[in-house]
Amino acid sequence: MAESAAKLAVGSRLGPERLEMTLDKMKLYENWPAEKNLHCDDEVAKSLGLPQPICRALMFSVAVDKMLYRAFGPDYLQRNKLSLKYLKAVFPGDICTAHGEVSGAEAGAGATSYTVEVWIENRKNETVASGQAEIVAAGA
Amino acid sequence: MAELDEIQINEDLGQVEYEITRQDVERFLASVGPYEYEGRAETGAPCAPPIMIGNDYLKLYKKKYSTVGALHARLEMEVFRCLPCGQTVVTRGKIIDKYTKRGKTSVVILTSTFNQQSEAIVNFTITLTYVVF
Repeated sequence: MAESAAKLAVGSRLGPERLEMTLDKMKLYENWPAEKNLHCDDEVAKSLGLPQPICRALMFSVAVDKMLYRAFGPDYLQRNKLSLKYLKAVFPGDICTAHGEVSGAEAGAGATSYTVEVWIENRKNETVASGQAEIVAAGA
Repeated sequence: MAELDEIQINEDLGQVEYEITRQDVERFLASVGPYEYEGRAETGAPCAPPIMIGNDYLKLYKKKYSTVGALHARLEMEVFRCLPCGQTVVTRGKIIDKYTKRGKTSVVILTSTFNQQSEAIVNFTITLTYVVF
């Protein structure tokens, strides 16, 4: 469940939050076989010259979502911004691990606005996505 | 299917209305699990993770344009309130930018999702870049 956001000072680290990407999970996410696309179907992927399906970026971005939910709890669901740039493809069998570091914490009237640098690494520790999140958490 | 050349900035992609069902939420959580998710609105009503509907743009964009050969380059998500389970939501979409860099065309799509009270729930800005496999 959520950690106490009140303890998150600038420099605090969030994560790691692991999300294992398997073809079975990708099929479930994409609602295969009703939906067949390059993110879940071998034949479609191969027809496009890919060796195997490629994970949808929004799916592995959930690693960051889970990390922020764990850190901020219900506040994260009510008001937040998340921005990610995708740098590398992710394939079945990979493990995406989200990391974060609090880079800003501004106390306001009854709430604190946090800025968190976020990134996702694959199992080779290569960064596959990076960006920033802003969360308004109750409590100044 | 329309060609990429036909895409216009500020083009309206229409809207889609659907229910956030418990089955959809459970399938999403299972696909990215384990996700110890117990989302509740301030009223106590159950919520779904807003990122769950980040792919709504596909329901609108694919009515007219192909996404074959397109990959996500960027994502922006702005959440205003919780995504209500068991309720009907409306997602509207539009093209907000289109550009070509190093021979690759990118299309930027904005979707805005509203609850039954017409309150904004979440905006997604998705950048799709067409690559050659």
